[in-house]
Amino acid sequence: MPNSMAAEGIASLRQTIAAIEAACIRKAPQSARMHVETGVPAIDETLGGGLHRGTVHELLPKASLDLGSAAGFAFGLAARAHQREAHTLYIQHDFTMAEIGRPYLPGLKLSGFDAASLIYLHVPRAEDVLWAMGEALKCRGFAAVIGEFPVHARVLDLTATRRLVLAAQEGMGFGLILRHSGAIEPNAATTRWFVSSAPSRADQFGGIGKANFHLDLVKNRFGSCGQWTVMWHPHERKFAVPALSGGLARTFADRPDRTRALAKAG
Amino acid sequence: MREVKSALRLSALNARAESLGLKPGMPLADARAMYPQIKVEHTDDTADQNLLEAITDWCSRYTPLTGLNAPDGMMLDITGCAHLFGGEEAMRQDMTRRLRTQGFTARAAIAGTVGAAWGFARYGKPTVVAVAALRETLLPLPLAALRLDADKVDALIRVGLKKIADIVDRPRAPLAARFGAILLRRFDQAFGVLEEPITPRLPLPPYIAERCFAEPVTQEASVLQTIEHLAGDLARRMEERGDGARALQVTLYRVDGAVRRLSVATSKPQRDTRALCRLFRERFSSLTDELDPGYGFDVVRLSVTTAEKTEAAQKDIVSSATGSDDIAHLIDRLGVRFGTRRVMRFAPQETHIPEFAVINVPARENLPTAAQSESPQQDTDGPARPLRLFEKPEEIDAIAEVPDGPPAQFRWRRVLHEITHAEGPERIAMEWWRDDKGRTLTRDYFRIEDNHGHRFWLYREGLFGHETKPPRWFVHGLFA
Repeated sequence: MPNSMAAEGIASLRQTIAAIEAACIRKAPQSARMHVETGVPAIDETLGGGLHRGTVHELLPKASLDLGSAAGFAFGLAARAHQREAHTLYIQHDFTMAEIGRPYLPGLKLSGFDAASLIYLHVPRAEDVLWAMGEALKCRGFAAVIGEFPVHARVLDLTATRRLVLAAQEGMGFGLILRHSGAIEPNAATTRWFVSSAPSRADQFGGIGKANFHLDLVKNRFGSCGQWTVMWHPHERKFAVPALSGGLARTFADRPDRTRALAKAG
Repeated sequence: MREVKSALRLSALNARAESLGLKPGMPLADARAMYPQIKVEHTDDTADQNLLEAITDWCSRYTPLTGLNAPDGMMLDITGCAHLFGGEEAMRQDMTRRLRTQGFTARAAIAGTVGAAWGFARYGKPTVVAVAALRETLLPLPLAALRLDADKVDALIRVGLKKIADIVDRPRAPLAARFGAILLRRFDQAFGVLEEPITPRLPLPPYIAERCFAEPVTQEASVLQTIEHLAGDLARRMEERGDGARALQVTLYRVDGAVRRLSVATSKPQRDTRALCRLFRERFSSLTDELDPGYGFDVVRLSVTTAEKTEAAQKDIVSSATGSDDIAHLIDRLGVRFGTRRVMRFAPQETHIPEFAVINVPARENLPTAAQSESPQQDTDGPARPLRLFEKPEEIDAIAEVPDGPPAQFRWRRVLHEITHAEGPERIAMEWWRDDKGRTLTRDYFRIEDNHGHRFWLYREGLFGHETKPPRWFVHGLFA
């Protein structure tokens, strides 16, 4: 008799545990835990569902001036990767901070990035960026870890990046290596992207439109490569292929509050 | 020697010179006349002070409450500590022996009052004076043992008062009238009639744990192991009182008297032994200079310098998945390794001036939620503020319409950019209260896109014709 009661108790406990586990799993759907989808079907298909979590990806500006776009693409991906209560860590080298500026909070907000979740670290040496990135990737709770490396950082070799990938596997971290262009050694990053700015389409009032990026995927361990031009939608927080025809200008008779928007040649 | 009233006088002597009959305060010329071969050095007060401070720090191995007693002494409050060293006499002997092996000559006395201990150490037999015997042992001491100035002692000697016994039974009022209230105050302090606190050199930490070694440890690993052990001890005690550590300090006492302190801070009250140990491991590995063990450390002390109340939390299976504890801990570790000023969050500020619109707050602190400033007015699809802002705006050569049109082309970092889109101006006037000279110029900001799709945030400094004649142009940020 006592035996059967004990068995009953254990069975009910098992049920409770199963319910808790199910609740945990329901919180995050399987695909979102494995991939960061860009929102562009063609790209996600090429990548096999989106950019993989649990590894690192490498982003390079095509020319040094494209760094703004490369950072924009990185922040876009981080916004896509963002989950409730998660944080994003941005690690910057002191020299790059002095040379090309640091992330700017109002701009991040307007680009649809949850700036309150951003933790910013600047470090004196390129090796420190690597170290901090590895530690952060191991740590659960970061939606994305962005490490910005200076031009002549000779630290991103095969061993170092392999270590980053292992760290990311351990904590299912999503690592983005943002490099200022330079000599490219072989490394263990899962994908490598060249990012450059693409001319934007003027918005319906002739002002500067949403940011366009030209993406060149030159390395992909899970499929083929490709080139795309995408547009970042700050409100929907997703990338999309820009429409071929621009939005029709809906002009209104009087809009006195509008700032004068100038459009030259385009 | 030192210069006193434009004459060089001896200030301190070694034992050999003292045995020759030289005395402190003697003019150098007299001493030279007696013994031409003596070697003299200038007194270095700062070095003396530093050395004394170092010894006082070393003495904190006996009690956390140590005070400096310049120029040549220190005071330790050993209440409740003596039994750890096998009694007061054993402690006194241990202290003098250890200081002697370091090359110092020390006289140590233990007494019930600060004043009496001072007197015994300098003028009496350096020993432990029982509280009951305080009075009769003090009486035969000279009056200088009462911590009086030399001229005051001279004045007392001149009227025939030489020992403490000579004044103890005299009427107090005439003494005070003639020699000042300080005489009676010192007298009362020595006999314990008046309370006298010690000014501690370091604030007293709320929790301390330490371990002494018979054989000094030299390995960093064993030091860390000791810290882990001590942290476990502290964690138990903190748990009893519901506290958590916000700042900790480990003090390493080297055999030769050097004291090394290392501090770490945490972002929330912490009493997890393993987490605390990892912080110290980080701190050790981030040392720029080696943790030089020399001949080894013989005492390792871990103290919680700041403690905060924290409620006991039960470990939860579900919430551990969010990893907010992990993040707090990582922030601590990054702060320990790179400095807390390097790990930060951005907080918005109520101002229109772009470079002041964001302040950096340490990531350890909680974000001030009230400081939610309004985003700048968004009137087109492109964001009104750049993604990256330069630390310092960079000057560019721009060709622009007069008086306030956008530039048609500009040269930045030796590259010429043809502009295809431009939006603006967005006029931002400087805040007059920020600049005491009142000369800051209005800025007209433009959002610019060049023919390759690169986007810049440019501004013209000064209103054309009103504020400045040839306006200067700057690039202040990059858009995505």
